[in-house]
Amino acid sequence: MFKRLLVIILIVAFLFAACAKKEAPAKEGVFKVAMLTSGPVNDGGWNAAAYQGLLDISEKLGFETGYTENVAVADIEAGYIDYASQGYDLIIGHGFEFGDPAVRVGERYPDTKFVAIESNAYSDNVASYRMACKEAGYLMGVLAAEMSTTGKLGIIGGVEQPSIVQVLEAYKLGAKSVNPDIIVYDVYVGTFTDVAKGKEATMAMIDKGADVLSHCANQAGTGAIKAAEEKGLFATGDSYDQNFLAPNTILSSTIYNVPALVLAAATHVKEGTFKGEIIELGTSDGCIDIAPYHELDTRIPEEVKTKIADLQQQIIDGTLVVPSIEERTI
Amino acid sequence: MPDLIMKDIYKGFPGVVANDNVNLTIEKGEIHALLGENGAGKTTLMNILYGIYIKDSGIITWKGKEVSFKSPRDAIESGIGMVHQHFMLVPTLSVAQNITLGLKNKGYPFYNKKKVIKDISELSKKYGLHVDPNELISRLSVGARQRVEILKSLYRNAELLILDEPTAVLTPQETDNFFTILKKLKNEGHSVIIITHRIPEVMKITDKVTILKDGKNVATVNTSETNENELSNYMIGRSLKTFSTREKTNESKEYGLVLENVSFKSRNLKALVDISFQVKKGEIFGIAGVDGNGQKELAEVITGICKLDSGTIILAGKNINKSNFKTRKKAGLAYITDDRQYEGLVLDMDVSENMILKDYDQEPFSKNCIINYKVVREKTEQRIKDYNIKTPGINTPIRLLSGGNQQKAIIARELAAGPSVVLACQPTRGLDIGATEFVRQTLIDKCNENLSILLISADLEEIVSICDRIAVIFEGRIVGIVTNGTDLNLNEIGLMMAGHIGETVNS
Amino acid sequence: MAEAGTTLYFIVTLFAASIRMAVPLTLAGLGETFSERSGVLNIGLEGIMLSGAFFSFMAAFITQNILIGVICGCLGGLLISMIHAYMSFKCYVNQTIVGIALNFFSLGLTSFLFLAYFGRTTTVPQCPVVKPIKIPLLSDIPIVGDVLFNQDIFVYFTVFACFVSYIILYKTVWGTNIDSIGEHPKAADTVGLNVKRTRYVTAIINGCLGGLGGAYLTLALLGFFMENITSGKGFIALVVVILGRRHPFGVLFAALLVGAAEALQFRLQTLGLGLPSQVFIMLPYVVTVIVLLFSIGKSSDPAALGISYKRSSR
Repeated sequence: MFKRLLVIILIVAFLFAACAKKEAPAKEGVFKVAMLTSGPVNDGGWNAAAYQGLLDISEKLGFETGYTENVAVADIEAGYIDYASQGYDLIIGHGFEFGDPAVRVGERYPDTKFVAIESNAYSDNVASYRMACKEAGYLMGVLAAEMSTTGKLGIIGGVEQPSIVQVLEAYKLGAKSVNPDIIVYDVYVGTFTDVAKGKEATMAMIDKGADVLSHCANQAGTGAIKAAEEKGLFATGDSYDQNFLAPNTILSSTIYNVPALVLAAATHVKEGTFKGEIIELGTSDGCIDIAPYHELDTRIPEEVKTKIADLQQQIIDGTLVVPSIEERTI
Repeated sequence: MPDLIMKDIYKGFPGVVANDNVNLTIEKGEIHALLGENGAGKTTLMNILYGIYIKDSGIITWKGKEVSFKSPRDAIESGIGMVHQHFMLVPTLSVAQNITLGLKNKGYPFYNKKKVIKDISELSKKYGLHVDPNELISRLSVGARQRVEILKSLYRNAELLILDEPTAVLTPQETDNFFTILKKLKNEGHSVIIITHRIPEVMKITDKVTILKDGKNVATVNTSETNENELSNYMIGRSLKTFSTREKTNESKEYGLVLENVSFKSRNLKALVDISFQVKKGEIFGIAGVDGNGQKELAEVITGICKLDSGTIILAGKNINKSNFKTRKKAGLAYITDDRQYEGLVLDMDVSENMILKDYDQEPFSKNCIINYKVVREKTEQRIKDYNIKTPGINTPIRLLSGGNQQKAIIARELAAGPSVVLACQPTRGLDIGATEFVRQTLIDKCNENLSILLISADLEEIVSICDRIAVIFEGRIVGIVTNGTDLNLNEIGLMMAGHIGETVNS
Repeated sequence: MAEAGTTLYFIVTLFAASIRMAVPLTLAGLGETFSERSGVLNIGLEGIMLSGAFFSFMAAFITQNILIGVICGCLGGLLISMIHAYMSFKCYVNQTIVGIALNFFSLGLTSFLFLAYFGRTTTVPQCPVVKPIKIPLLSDIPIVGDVLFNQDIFVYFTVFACFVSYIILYKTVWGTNIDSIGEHPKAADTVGLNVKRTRYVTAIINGCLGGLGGAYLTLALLGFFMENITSGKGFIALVVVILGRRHPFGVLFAALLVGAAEALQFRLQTLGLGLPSQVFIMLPYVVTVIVLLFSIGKSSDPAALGISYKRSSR
């Protein structure tokens, strides 16, 4: 009896969960932005960052917002249509997989604008917004090379795919710009989650003499930082300021500012500067940055700090363009 | 004061009463037979005594004290040992390990191999139970495994030994040896209960007989004061119909099934070696032999489940070497398997579904891949009537039918297609006398309809009672073929079953 | 000379890496060996390890005491294996299904509790980790000594556990009892062995060792906990059990082999051979499949593996 009751409660709960997050239709005349995310908006990572961007849109631009979380790939089109038919002006799909469905739905709703984050699809009213993560990767490469005494660096990537390869290759370029003879070991661990593997891959590079370790592997990358800390070496963080993980180990971190990207997309639409193409925003748009040096500030030579700041300024000015390399080089 | 008194034992299983107020009394040092048909409740009664089942009501008194064993461990500790029909031996362990399994000997938990082996050797010498303590169980013959089981009980100081169908799997010679062992046990003061349905054995070695029928006591008699007919009357409530050697109604010169030099290797062991024989139309040809000498492989090679390595099989004049199971069936081969629960039936399917297991994809049962359940129902009902299958309904899961009725269902299905050759593998194994008679009579009827019948059976009595010619198989070879008749020498067949080469009478 | 030195250094560091990768696999594999030899197939090994990793971390984080962490790691693994045992032996639910369900359960439970305790912080909480213990004299052997005899307590315990398991399974009556129950539970029952109790005992061993395997990740290797930190190590451990043919040293060597293949692929990637990284990532699995192919037909599962024993069934 108890079991049956439990099952019924669970089913009802699921139904509620499925319907709950649909916002009430908005008033006429106000600019309306909706967002679809692949996972929960409180995941503390990718989706949470997008949600922060949506909150910023509502706060800073005063737009009306709505969102649907946990959208499965099969339900993306339905999610788009749902909001488009309610008269939303802009619908943001947060993730690579939201690109192609936006193009298909976009044909039926030509007056609505669609933005897919980190995707590559576009049409007249559909744009893909991407971050130039490579710019931060390049700066990390420079910093790591400057701090290395062995002339060997190591960086681990999660999975060998264009968005990750780009960062690793930019890192290599940055390092080579400091010391053309420097050796950069790059290892792809094949997972974004297995911390132990990330650590072991880093240990392999440390065994070969690498003395500054970097990563672009989400959770698995934490293993890289851990390995560096254990061996008393330097490391760099990725995605956000990871200094707290190992204060005396992490020189700096790349920062990918997703909320800024989302906010930029909404601003473009509002101001009428929206274009149906792939838009890449970087350091100059405030979407890419690097973290402060924190405790290690004194350990990094002044001229290195100045050099990094100069390079960052050059990137903003456009005098330094970090190339986009999407295939792994040797 | 008797050693064991079981009084008013009652035990019910869902839907059946297995023991209905049964009584049993055993004196010290006697060999007592528990006689009855399959399903009479003999094994259940003994499982209750041994602590495997818990009785619903009744009193058990052992050596003057009331006991209630909760598990076999309790029974063993009180000096009661049981040898099950399906041996309770672990095939991957050695003889010594099996004998001492569950015991806490000196040095526990470490294994004092030397002492154990010495003890076992002494014990086997004393009772004539010869077996190598270091050998793995999986390498032993059935007879040797039985000796291990008895040793296992004796090692645990069993005063009362329960033996469940001990001779079912033995050759005549092994059976004789077994009887000698029983006498030794008795002389050493052990009591023995033998569960059996074989009346001649009861007459030969027991002191007393208790007969059960449908879970109830029928009688308890002293063996010296009774005879086979009386026992059989008690057991089945009517006199046993004895099959005399049949009159040949139609002798044909045509062959239904011919095997020429058939060889087959299974797991790199020679399972069948140069098997040759011919089965005429209108003939029952028997393959006798102790279980595990290639009978199963022979059946599977003929049916096409296994591919032969060399030789030829000719079915109704056609070479079927390359045909698969289905084509052979279409060519006129019917197969009654020895493992009806796993190979013959799908136990959780109902009676009608089991009826069409082999023809569900053919007319009239199905057309264009759609099963016509109306036809299925009609045919099933017809067969249930023809073969007198006792079932609550055609949609009853066949699991719930008794063994005899399950076998009837298989036979009904196999014979429905109008075969020319019937291959029956251990068709009466585990069946009670009524069902056994029915199966044998069906085979005889089919033979009289000019079909060729190949009967593979480990039950020599069965072979002798209905076959026209008998081949004996030993270690994958046919060691002799004899014609059945009044001058048949049973002793000779027994010797051949144990591996002695006999004369081959080819006709 | 320098060339030989490099090669030796390469082999020694590779071996050290293999040991680090092999420890959690061996511990969990040993536990599962006991379980499977007694006829219980516990696919929930991943869940056991994850639970062990979580609870060991929590205990060590709160008390700052590694020993308490280790004990709670065992208890965490025990929790999952006891649920499995109860569901299989008492409720007669299909062992494989329960195992799969427990993997999900454990992932959900640990993630939820972790979130519930620490909230949505941006910091990663850390706990103390075990320090390597030098064995005097032996650790002074050049190059090799440092790899083999300057390890943490988990590594020594793993080797010790292999020896003890070997003695229990092959030299004592207990081992025979376990085997008989996995092979023919009814036969074991009829000689008075308690099938359920023995299986509960092996489930306890499985839970404790699997929990320790998980605790190794948090208390020795990483010093922190993250969602799904085991990332499929429990499944690899199941493969290791089969690869090692349910023999303690077989499991140890199989785990070392898988660990070595993993460690080797990272090192091969650093050589810059120009092959896609996926080729290297495949290596451990290719090795596993090849070894399995070679061992076809040489081992057999316990006859009663995965079948719950019911005494009164007719």
